[in-house]
Amino acid sequence: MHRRDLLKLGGLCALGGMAPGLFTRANAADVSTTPPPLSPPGTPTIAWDRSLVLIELRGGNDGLNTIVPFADPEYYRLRPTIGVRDTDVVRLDQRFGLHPALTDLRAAWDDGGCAAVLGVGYPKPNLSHFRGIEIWNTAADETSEQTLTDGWLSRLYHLAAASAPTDLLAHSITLSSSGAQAHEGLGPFVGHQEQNHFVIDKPEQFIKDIGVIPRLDEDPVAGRTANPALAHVRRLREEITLIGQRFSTLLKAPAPFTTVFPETSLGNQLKSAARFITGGALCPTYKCTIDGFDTHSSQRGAHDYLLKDISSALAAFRTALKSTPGAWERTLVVTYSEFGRRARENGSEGTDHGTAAPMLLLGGRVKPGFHGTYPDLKNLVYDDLGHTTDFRSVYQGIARDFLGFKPPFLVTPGLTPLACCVPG
Amino acid sequence: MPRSEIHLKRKRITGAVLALLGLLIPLAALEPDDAKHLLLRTGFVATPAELARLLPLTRAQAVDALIASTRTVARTTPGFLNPDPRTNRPMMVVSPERALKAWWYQEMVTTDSPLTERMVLFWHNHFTSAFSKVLDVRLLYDQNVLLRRSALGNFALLLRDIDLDAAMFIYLDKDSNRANSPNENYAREVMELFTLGEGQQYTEDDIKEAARAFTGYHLDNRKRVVPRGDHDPRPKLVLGHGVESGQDVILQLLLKEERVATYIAGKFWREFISEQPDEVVVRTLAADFYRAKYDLRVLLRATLLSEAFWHPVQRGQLVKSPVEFLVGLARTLQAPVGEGELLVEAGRNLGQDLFEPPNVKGWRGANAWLNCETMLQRWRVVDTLVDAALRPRENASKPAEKKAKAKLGRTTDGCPLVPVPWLDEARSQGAAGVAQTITLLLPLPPAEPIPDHDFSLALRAILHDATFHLK
Repeated sequence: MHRRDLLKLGGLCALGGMAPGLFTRANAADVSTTPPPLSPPGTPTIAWDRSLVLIELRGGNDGLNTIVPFADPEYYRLRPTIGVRDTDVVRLDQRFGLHPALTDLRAAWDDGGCAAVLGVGYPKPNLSHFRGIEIWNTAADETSEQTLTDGWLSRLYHLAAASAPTDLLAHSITLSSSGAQAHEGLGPFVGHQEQNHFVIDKPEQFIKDIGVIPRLDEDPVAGRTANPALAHVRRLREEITLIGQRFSTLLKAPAPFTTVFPETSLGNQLKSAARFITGGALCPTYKCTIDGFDTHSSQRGAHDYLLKDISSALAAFRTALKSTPGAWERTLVVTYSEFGRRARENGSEGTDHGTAAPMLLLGGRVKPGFHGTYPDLKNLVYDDLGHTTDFRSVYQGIARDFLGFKPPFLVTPGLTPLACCVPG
Repeated sequence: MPRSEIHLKRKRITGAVLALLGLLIPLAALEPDDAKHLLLRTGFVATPAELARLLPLTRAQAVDALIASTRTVARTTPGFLNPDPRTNRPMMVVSPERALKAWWYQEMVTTDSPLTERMVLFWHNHFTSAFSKVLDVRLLYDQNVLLRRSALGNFALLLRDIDLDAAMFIYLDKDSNRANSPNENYAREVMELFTLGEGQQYTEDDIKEAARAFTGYHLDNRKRVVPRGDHDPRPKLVLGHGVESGQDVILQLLLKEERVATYIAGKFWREFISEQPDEVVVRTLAADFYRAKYDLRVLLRATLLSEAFWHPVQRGQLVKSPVEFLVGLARTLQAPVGEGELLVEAGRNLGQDLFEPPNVKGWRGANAWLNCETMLQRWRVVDTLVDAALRPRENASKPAEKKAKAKLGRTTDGCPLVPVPWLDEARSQGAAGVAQTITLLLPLPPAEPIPDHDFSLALRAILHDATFHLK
C-alpha cells in the first residue's frame, strides 16, 4: 500500500461513506444537465488544468535595472556608472520603463498579457542566497525565523490532494538542464513524497530511457519500509514506469507550434514547457531556472545578457502558446528571485545583495500593468530598498485567482491576496 | 532488601554492564557485514582485497588502519599541467577543466586510500569553488592539492590556508574587497558556510565589519594572494570583540567559538552516519574535537567509532553520491582507465559535476541526488560500464584509449589500472559466485530477484538493483 493510495483512501473516507461513484463519471443513464461535482462542497480544490510556469532567477535579480525608475534623479545618484540611461529605457509610462534588453516583452505589455508587481519582498529580509530562496520556496516567515520543510506549492497541492484527477501527468515538471542540481530548484515542490515532481531535461530522450527500465515488484524482503532511502529509490522506480506510459502518449503527437525558441538554456526549458502545455498535459506547474544573477561586479555585461535571454525566450513562449486556442489563457508565467540588489552600486560596477525587487507576470489571465508601489529611493532601509508588497500576498493571489484554490491559503496576519490575476 | 531497592540495584548493574559493553564494542572483532559497512561508508566499494585486510581486525583497529593509510599527496599527477616536453610550452588541451576532472576521477579509481579521496570530496563540498568562476585549472588543481594535504590534518590550519587560496579568492570575489567598497560576499561565506553555520551567533553588522577586515589583499600577476596597501585600518567590531587589523585575527576569533566544532562535527555525522544527527552526541564529538584544537583525525575516529555508526539499522540508509556511485562502479568493474572522460560526463549527468558545485553551499546531497532523471542516468551508466567490463581485455589497448591515457597522465608508478581477477573468479563459481557477488556489492539484501544461471546477467541485475544506490 503506497502513500498515494492511502491519501486517496483518506479522501474517500473523509466523505463519510459517500458512494465511490462520485469520483468516476456516472453511467450514461445518470447524466443530467449539470454534471455532478467531482468532490463534495468544502473539499479544497484547485484548477488542475491550469499551468503555472515559474522562472527562478538565481543569484538575486537587480530589480532597479529591470524596471527602471528613469524619471527619478535619485536612481542616477545611486547608480552613476551602471544606471540604465533614460534614453535607452523602453518606457511603460512616464515614470517606469523596461531595461532595453527586455524590449520583446513590449508586445505582451501592450496587449494586456503582462503585469509587474513592484517592490516585492518581506519584513526582515535575509540576504543569504540559501536562506533567501528557502524563504521564497517555502513561504517561511523570516521575522520569526520560521523553518518549514515543504515547498509552498507542494503544500498547496497537498491541501487539494483529494480533488486531484487520477490521470494527472505530474504535480510539477522542472525543466532545468542538469538533474539533481535541479533539486535546488525543486524548492517549491519538496516535502510531499507522494506527489510526482519530475525533472526532465530532454523530453524525447527521457521517453526512450524510461522504456528500458523494468517494473519493480513487491520487495522480497518483508517489513523493510523503515529505510527511508530505500523507500525513496523504490518510489522513484515506480514513478518511472507509470510516467513513462503517460509521457509517451503525450509526446507521440507532433508539436502544435512551429515557433523558434532561442538556443539558450531558458529557451530550451520554455520550449519544453510549451510542448507540454500545448499538448494538453495535465500538470499544474512547470519550473525553469536561469543562473547568473549574482552580479557583484561588472553587472551591465552579465545582467543585460540575462535579461535579453528572458525577453526573447518569453516572447517565443507567448507566441507558441497563443497558436493553440486556450493555452495562453490557462497559463501564468511568474519570475522571482531570492532577493534584489542594493540600491547603490558598489566599487566594482556591480551591486551587492539587496532586498525588494519586481516580479514579472505573463499570461492570458493577468491583470495587466503595475501592481504595488515602487520602493522609495530616498527612504532606504539600512541602505536597502524597502519592500512594499509581501511575496506571500502574491502567492495568495496566484493560489486564489489563478489556481482557484478555495480556502484562504498562507494565512498571515496583515497580508491579503494581491489581485494580480482575473479570477474564475 | 525492599523490592524497590532490588529493582534499582538491578537497573544500576544492567546500566553498568551496558556501559561496559559500549566500551568494549570497538574491541569486538569485525563481522564481514561490519567491514563492508565501514568500507562503503568511508570509501567507494568493498572489494575482496580490502575486506581481507580488515577482517582480522577489531573495529577500532580497522578504523585506525584506514586513517593511518590516508595520503596527503595524490598517487597520480595531471600530465596536462606539465609543459609539453617537445615545445616546453603549456600543453594544448581542448578542455583543461575536463582534463582536470578526468584526472581526479582517475585518482579516485586507482587510489590505495579511498578514504583520502572521500575527505577531499567532503572539503570540496565545504570550501567550494567552481571552475566557471575561477576560470583557471591550475588554481583549482592547487586548491585540490591543498585540500588533500590537510584533509585529515588540522581544521584551523586548513581554514587559514583556504583563506589565502587563490581559487577561493576569485570564487568569493575577494578581489573586489577594496577599502573603499567592502565586498561582503567573502565575510558572509566565511561565517555562514565555512565556520559557524547559517544564522549562528553572527549578525549583518558582524559581516559588514568583518568585510572591512578582509580588505587589503589582491592577486599578483602570478596569481598568488598577496597584501596590498589598501587595507582598511579602522577598528572593527566583530562578534562583540574589537579588532584592530586583519583577517587572520577574524579567523582566530571565529575558531574560538566552540560552535565551529559543532558545525563541522554535524557535517561529519551527515557524511558518515545519517541525515539525522543526534545533537547530544554531536556536541560531545564537537567538544573533543575542540579540545584537540581542531585535529580532524580525532573527530573522524570518534565519529567512526560512535555507537550510531555501527548500529545495524544504519546499514544501507545513506544514498551514494554520483561520484561515489561512479567510482564504486569503476573500482568494482575495473573499467579501463580510458573511461576517465566517460566518468566526467556521467558525473555531470548524475548531478555532480566535479569542480562545479551548483553554488557556494555545495551539493545538498542525500535523497536530493535521486530523482527520475538521475535514476535514468544511473541506469544508463551501469549498462555502459558493464558492457565495457565484460568486453574482451584487448580493447584496453586500442589506439584511441592509449591516446586518452597519455593525455590523462601516467600514474606515479607508471602502472595503469590492472583488472584484478576477482570478477573472473566469481564468474567461474556459478550460483555460489553470484551469491558472493550479491553479498559483496550490496549493503542490503537485493530488492529485485537476481538470476543466478548467468553471471553477466546477474552482475547487471545486481548493479541495477535499488539497493546498489545505497551505502
